[in-house]
Amino acid sequence: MQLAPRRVRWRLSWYYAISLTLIFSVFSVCVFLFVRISCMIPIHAQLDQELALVAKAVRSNAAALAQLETEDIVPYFRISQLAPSAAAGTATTLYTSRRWNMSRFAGNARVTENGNWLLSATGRHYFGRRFIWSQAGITWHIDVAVDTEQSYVSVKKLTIALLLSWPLVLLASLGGGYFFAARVLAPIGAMADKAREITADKLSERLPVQDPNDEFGHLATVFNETVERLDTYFERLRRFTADASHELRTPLAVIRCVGENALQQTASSAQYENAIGSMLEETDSLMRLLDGLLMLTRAEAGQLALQPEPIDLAALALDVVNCLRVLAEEKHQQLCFDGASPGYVMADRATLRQALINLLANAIRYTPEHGDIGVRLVQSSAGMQVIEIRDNGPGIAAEHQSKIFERFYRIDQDRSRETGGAGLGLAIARWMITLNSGSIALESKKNKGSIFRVTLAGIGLSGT
Amino acid sequence: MHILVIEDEKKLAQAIQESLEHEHYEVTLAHTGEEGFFLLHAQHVDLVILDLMLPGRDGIDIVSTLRKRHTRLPVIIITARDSIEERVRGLDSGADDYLVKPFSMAELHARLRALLRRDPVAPVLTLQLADLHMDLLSRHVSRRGQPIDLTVKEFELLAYLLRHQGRTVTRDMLVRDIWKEPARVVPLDNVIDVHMARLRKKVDGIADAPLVHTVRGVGFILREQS
Repeated sequence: MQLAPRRVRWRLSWYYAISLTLIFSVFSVCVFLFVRISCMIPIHAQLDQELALVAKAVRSNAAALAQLETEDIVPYFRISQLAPSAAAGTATTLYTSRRWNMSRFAGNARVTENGNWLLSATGRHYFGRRFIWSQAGITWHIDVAVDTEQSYVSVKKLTIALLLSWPLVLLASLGGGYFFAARVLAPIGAMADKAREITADKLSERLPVQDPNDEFGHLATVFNETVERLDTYFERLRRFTADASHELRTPLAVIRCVGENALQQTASSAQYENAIGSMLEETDSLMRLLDGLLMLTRAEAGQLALQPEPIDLAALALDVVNCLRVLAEEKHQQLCFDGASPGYVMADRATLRQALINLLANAIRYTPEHGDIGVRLVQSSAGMQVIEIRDNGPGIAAEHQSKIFERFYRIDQDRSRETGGAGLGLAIARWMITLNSGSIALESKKNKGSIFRVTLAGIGLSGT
Repeated sequence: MHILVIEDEKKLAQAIQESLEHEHYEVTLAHTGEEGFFLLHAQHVDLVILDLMLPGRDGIDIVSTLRKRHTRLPVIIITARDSIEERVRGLDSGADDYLVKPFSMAELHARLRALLRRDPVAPVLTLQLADLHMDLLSRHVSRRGQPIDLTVKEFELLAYLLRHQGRTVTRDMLVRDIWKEPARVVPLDNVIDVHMARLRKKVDGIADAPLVHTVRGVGFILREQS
């Protein structure tokens, strides 16, 4: 038992893992942004409020400022002034709240109008914002900060948690994917095992179809249909081989026996002549069989060189009827042709003629004496030219009708050489018609006669 | 007449030799293309019968080379390849005739005679064998002075047999020359048999000595009883 290849399984797992991780990453970023924004909204609101209070206090008096500080209404603030002549950044600090001073913000506590993070000497995080307003050439800066340590830590913890879970998600999805892929792919293994058992001798075996509606069920169904076709093909091949060997061996057997007999007995020259003649006759029938088989093989392989030309089917059919008329006369059969108006088709004359000869010769052969045989050319409504070869012979039972065009198919299982040929005539006829882009159909009922209908696409010459 | 047969299958070569010698031809056998070439240079040859599948050298190649030196030497190809393309290729290379195996000796003889008497002969207007007379112009046929009424096909058949009188005519020859059917597969054997039977009845029915004979397994022959 060879190890089943796992590449699809791995590929599926990787697809799962990558898509899950991607989704998780997007999700993490969204969560992070959402939490951060929802933390910042109250902070900004508080800052707005405090800035307003400080600005109001600045406009009134120093006592108001002190009150803000002592009553812990605005714990962290700083007010500085920028003289018009002074260089940028050299603001003079006018007032700093006690808590601000105690925090000892790092980096000289640069605060921007949009707000930025501040870090105290103790490592706590604050968020500060600056409010700028100018009056009489003097620019005032009011910096206000709030303690955001709690929010900061929450966001930080969340970030760490998200980052840590990223590889976990990757691993988990890989593992899960690998596991589930195995379950999904399990039918393939079963199908492979079963398919391995199907050989040329065991074509009756079929793959199990668990659910015909899913993809694997579909695959198995299609596979089974293929095996089914192969099965019928092999069956046909087996029958063909058996029939062919019968048809080839019979004349060979005759040649051999007749030859041996002639050698064993001292015979008159007339007897020798008879023996040799009989052997030559068998050679002839072998040769015809071989020619027929070769022709079929070439037709199937598309190796017959056809020369399509416009052909008047009525003339061709009449020609065939006249050629074979003597055969019908010998059996006292009525053979009539009905096709007054010409009907043109584009076809290869030799092959089409052969097909019609085969069909009509068959009709004459299998129709009993004093029977009626008719050949008729009709134009169908769709511009098709149809030749009907109709007889009132024994007819063909339904079970034979689909197989009658197969090589070597004979209705009589004894394959008597007295009552029929090798069984290639109709196969050749069908191929010759197929090669000329036509079709042949059989309509028959047991004891009610048969109609072979050859349909070919007409070309517009009939009116001219 | 000297005929060179280049054929590697010894049994077949020998059969051809015997058959041709029986007809008083002088026959030389060659089993390879090279041997054939050597014999062509060494002797005077009137006609070549050549197998297309020879060991070592393609027959078509031999025909083309041969054609360059002996422009008027008749060549009959005998081959197992019977597709139309092969036939065209063989005749294009310069061969005069093409026979597909298995062929009958009668047919080989007929082709040979046709090739060796290629010079124009005076057109024949009447054919005759014993007391059977046939006028090709007036289409009048009689035996022992009694007129025989023949259909068109029967007339053609009898004329063909009379032209080949004393020689066997195969069904294949009739299919090709009278019925003008290119393929051997067409099942006309029964048709030929019926026509021959009727012809025989008309020609031999009114006389004691039959002229139309069947050669079992080969074909038909028109001759006086030997």
